Amino acid sequence: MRITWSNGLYNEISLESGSLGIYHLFQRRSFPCRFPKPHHNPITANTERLSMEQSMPQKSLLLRVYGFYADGLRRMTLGRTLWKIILVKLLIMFGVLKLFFFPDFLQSRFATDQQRADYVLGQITGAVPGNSTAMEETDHD
Amino acid sequence: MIENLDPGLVNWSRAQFALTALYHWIFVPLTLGITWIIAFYHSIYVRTGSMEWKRLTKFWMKLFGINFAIGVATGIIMEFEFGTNWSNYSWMVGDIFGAPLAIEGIIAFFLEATFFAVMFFGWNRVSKGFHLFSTWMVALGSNMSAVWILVANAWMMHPVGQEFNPDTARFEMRNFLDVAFSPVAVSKFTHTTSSSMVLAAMFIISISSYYLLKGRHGKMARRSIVVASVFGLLASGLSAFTGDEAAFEVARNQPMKLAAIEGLYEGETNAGLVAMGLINPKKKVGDEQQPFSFEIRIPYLLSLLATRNVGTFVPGIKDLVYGNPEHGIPGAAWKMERGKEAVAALAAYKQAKKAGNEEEAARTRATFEKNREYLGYGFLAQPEDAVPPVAISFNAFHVMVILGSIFPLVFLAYLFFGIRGGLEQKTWLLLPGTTMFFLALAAHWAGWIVAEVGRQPWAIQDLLPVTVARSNLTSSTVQTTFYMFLALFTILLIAEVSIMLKQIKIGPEEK
Repeated sequence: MRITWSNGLYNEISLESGSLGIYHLFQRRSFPCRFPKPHHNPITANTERLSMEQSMPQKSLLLRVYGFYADGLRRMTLGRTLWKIILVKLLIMFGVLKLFFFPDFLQSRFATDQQRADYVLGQITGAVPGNSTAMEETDHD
Repeated sequence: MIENLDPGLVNWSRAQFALTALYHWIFVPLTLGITWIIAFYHSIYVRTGSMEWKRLTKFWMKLFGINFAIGVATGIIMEFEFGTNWSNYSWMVGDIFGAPLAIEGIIAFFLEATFFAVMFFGWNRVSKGFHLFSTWMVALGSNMSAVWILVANAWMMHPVGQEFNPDTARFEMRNFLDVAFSPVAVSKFTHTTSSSMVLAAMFIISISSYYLLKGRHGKMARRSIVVASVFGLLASGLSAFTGDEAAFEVARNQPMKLAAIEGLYEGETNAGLVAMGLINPKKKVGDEQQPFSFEIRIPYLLSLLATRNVGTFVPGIKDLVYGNPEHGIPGAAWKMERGKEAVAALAAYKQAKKAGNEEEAARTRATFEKNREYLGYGFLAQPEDAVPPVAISFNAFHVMVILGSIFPLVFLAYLFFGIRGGLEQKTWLLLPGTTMFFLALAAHWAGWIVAEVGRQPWAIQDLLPVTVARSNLTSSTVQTTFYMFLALFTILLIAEVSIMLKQIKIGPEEK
């Protein structure tokens, strides 16, 4: 691993094979960090950093995750267009189609599960060819 | 009821569902397959550290992202349709489908959503190892989320691990493991995912062929082709193997579907497989017309594939409709009698419960239990109604198999010239190669038609026909939403194709 320090920011340039654990996963370049300047000795620097990270509060990891997502979303180019399509699509599906054209047939007609069960049972027992009486009964439910 | 049913309703509901499912099925198999190939590209990059492989990985990742974004949530519409157009069915299977679909939602959310972002945003921001791990997790998550919907679909073909509760009018799950690991579910999942890998490999080959023909991004295209060809070749073998397993399960659990996809009207011992043929679409079971204008048969093969034994009898449509006592096959007419007893017992049970007559309720329930495995046949008007559309099933099956047999040869040719060199000059290969993705998509759609048309008239095999599964709506209502979907899907498809074409034109990012 190479570690550099510039402009008051802790920079992790790359993590080679042999990951040092979950604490490193969301470390990225130019990510503001409260760590002191790393030790000049690259061998001891790793050890010190690990112990510092292990004592970090949970919030810091969450913030790093948040920063990772926020920064990723901010840097999107094509992704912006795709997100717009997804949002428009979801709006049409849930705001228009589901709301106005696809009510739940049973939910919208009956108040209880027992009523729904009775209706469906009436439908299927009345669905025998030639048995139109039963069907008329169920349709009046 | 069937006499009074709006005749167009069931067909419009079917058409709407088919439209939605086939549209959804443009995106899903590509997502399932391409995530694995991207994971391989990414692994090669991590292993070699070559920036060429990184560019290549990022490029295919971008196209995958477009496909994913346009395809995401298209499946939700099918759930809307269940509640509105297929309310009886939806009510009856709610207990069975609840668990698998909930698991799908959780897995899709946690695996795909979590690692998806790391896969796209993680370049130079997370460790190479974790980034690669995320790419593999996206592939695994996508495919795992497909497990559960296919488990649900397989249950409709082979309804195991359930019991019908006449008090709630629902099929209730008795054994989750039976449902999740039913042989039909296993073969369905493995065949779907392996054929999706073939489709994804063809996607890469088609676009890379285009680049080679245009003389652009040659190095990236060749590398993409070599990996995709190896992957596609292996996936083709897996697809053939799992397809054979799927056909074997069809023979065991849906013999009418097998007879329909083979155009086998009269059952045969040492039955041959129709390798190719022109089926007579006007032929009806029981009439004197010839089923084929011409056909090329491979002797014994159907018996072997269907039963793992060349000498066994494979029932034809006629045997299954009218029965064949010699081979101990009951006809649909006999099953209809049993089914009608089940339905009558169910109606009597309902009346007895309403009247508070527990003794009568217990007696009618016992009659129902005795006949319940034929429940669905009680709703058929005549034995011939048990036959699916034979010509469509036969043609779809043979299109799928013929295309599936061509694909390994295409992969071999690409692999050979990709390794030996000179692929850029093989216009005879590259030109048809640009169309291979569409052929693979056609094969996928044909497979869907085989599975869904071939199982008609059943929504749930032998237990519930689609005519009873539907809601009491007017066909004009369903017709309206059908055209709305058609318009919406067309717009979305245009959006996808134009964004995809634009990105293909741009190509991978500059060095």
